[in-house]
Amino acid sequence: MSEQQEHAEHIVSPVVCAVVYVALLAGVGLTIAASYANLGILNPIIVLAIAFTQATLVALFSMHLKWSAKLTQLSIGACFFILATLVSLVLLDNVSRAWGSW
Amino acid sequence: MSDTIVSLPDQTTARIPKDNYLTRENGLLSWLLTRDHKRIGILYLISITFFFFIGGALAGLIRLELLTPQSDLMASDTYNKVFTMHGVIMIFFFLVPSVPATLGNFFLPMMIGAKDFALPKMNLASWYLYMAGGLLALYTMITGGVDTGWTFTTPLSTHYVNTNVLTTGLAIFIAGFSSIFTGLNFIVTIHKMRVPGLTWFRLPLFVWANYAASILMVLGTPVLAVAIVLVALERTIGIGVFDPTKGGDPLLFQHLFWFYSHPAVYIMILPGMGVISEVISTFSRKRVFGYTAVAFSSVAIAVFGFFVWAHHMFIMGVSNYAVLVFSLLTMLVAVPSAIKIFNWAFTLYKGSITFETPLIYAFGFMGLFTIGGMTGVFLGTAGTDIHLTETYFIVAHFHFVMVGGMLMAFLAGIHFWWPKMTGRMYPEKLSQMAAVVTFIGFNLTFFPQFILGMLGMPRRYASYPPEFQILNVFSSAGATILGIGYLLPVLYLTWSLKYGAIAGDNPWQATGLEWQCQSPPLTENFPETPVMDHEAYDYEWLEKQQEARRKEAEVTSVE
Amino acid sequence: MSNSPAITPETHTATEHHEHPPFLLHHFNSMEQQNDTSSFAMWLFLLTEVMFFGGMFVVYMIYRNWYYAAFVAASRQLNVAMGGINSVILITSSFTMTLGVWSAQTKRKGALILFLILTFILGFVFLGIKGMEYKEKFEKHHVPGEHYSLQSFINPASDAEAMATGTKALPLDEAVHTELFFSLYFAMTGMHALHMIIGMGLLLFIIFRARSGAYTTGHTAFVEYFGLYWHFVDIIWIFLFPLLYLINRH
Repeated sequence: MSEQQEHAEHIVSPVVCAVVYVALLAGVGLTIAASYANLGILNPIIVLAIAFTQATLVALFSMHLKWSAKLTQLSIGACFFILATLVSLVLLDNVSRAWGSW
Repeated sequence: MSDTIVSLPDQTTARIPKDNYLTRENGLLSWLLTRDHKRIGILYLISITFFFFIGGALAGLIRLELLTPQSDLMASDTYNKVFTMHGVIMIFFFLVPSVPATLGNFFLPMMIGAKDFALPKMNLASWYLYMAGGLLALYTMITGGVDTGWTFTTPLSTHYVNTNVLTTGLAIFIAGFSSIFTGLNFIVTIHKMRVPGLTWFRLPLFVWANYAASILMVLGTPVLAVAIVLVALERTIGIGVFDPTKGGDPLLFQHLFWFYSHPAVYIMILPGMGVISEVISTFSRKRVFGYTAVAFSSVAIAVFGFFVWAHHMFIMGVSNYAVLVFSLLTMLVAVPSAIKIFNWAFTLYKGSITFETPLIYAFGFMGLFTIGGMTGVFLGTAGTDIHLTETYFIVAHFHFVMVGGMLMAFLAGIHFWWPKMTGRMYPEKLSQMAAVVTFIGFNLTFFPQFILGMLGMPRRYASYPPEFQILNVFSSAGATILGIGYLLPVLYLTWSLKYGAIAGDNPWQATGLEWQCQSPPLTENFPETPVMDHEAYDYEWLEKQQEARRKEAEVTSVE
Repeated sequence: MSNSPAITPETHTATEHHEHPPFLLHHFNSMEQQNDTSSFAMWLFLLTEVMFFGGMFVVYMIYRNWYYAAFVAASRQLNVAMGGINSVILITSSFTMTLGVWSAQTKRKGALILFLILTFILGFVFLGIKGMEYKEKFEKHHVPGEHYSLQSFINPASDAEAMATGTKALPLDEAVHTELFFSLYFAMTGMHALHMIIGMGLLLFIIFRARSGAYTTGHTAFVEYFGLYWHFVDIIWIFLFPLLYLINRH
């Protein structure tokens, strides 16, 4: 009916969904494996990096962000900027006052 | 003051239009289940006025107690409850929703030429949440109150008091959702529902201001929610997040609390600044000087407002480096506010100024907000803050910006848009007098408090050293005058509903889209979608419009 | 006009009335505007959720830094297998949800209902496993509050998990801080579970409506937005799992 007249809705194909799915599962496996290995300071960094990658995949593909309006993408960026402000300034206070084990 | 731009229709023949948003549907349910943003604005107006007077009564009790140095009117515990509830009600149930939920709800869609907000049901839900939170807060007050101060500082609020912290927290949590829904609706509507031709830089500055405040509402309020949830868990289960004996950090609560509550003050003031832009432009018949600067400064205040929260925590034990950084950032945030004041001043310069009531309130705003803002700089400077914080200097500072600033702006807005909302004018001389009475009462109430603070009188104390009494008496006397100043508008505005002069479409000859339709407006706002082909505050366009209408009237009357 | 009920007149330029899309709400001018607007609104709502959980992550960040040893010991009390299985289940439910949205968009009613039901079942299993984990924590006296027990941490020999992961005994003043870890564990996974329960309630509603063809006739908005919500809940878990279960396993 009017669907063709409306702006083309991007439909994520099941193939893309499946690829993302497999990637996410791989991420879970990797992260468990990485946490059992002794990598010193890299441990939390790798684990967080995997988590951020997984989250990005879900956001971009499953949540359609890659094909969403610029406005949506910008808003998410703004939100993370504000969250980063909270995190970094609380850390600033913490680092200069009470870093490490009490 | 005989000069006025008010232009009313011929009172012998003028009538309120039969079909408007007030008469379209009748009955209680048509109000309680309305999706019309204008009716929701009116619902909010009535409810926040109700909460304002409760908060005001509590203020009256405070000033009554402080007439004498001893705590003789009420016990210290009761006094703690009184100032806490005063703060909670005034901040969460009056100031935060004041302009956005009343004037913003009513006029934002009209200013962008839309029929309603993007999410009308969410708008109604927002009001119900507000009422739920407000009534819960009242219930808390009646069943024993809460005495921690509106700031719920831990570990006092989590471990050392036995009062209704949880229920008050829940009330604020619910009100927070109301605020989020309003802000969300505003942002989406402003982005997506402007009429063709209405680009961002043709928007009235009121819209920009509410947009900036809405960003703060949407991104800041959830953090307050999480702080309240953690306090609730701490009080009920004793999880230990803010309990030093279990390794928790009370300061962490304050970081989360102030991360919202500082942007909250900008949520409160930005919409008021939007009103002032509209009022100053209309009553000096000039476009706002430096429109782009004012628009960007609204957004800048919103963004920078997120960076400065720990200036409320300078003496609480944060590290010196944090104090340094936050102090510096606080200086930054003053700049956009100052830009606005300068731009308004330059708008007035060489404008054709007439002293209608909204402009008197706007002048009050400019002077009092400037004083309040400048004293904020003393507080943002860490060294002086150590002496001034937790004294009456702080109390005076925030009342100057919130009451001398925001409340005056709110009253300016109510008076400015009253003719559009109701179709009636209020009595001009009486309203001008009330504005002046408010200004005098305000200064008498709060200026002595700066001096008291400098002299060292602590805040939140029911008793004080006897040498402070004379200034406290001035302050309480001023409070009485201020109370009269606030009561008068309620009386004469209500009176005007039946007996006020018929206002017509555009009594102030203002340029906004909301003035280009009937008063009171139709439910659908405009009979045909307006087309936006001129800049904001374009008085030449307005003149051409009025010329065209005059010619049309001549032609039809001849025929 | 003044006697008509409060329905606002349409202003779009379609000359024939039957061209008016059935799902267009009256304050919008076109389906495109309506969809753009509602999608943006849904994303903004998710951003408020990001800030909400973000606050909790900040609390976690501070205390993990302060009490690392206690957090490690406490984290090792959690069952990686159960957490890992839950991760797989939730990610799979996300997958079935994307397939559900695809089915709605390609008007496959049967497939839509199947995938929605699968998503529901997976969510249910997730909550079931979570419930089992909570029960286990309750039995071991690791729930913060009056009955919290430090035995597992000051005397690892008394605890099977501690022995299995080779955790050493903690001195008393450090062991006290394990309660903070569990506070955060219950608060964060509890909030997450609450969001899942709400989601599943909505899912039931959607399944019910899908059966009468609500989302396979061209108006897929509600399913899409629910999909966004469900993926967001999945993202939260993607962070919760490593941060709570995998602090230090070597």
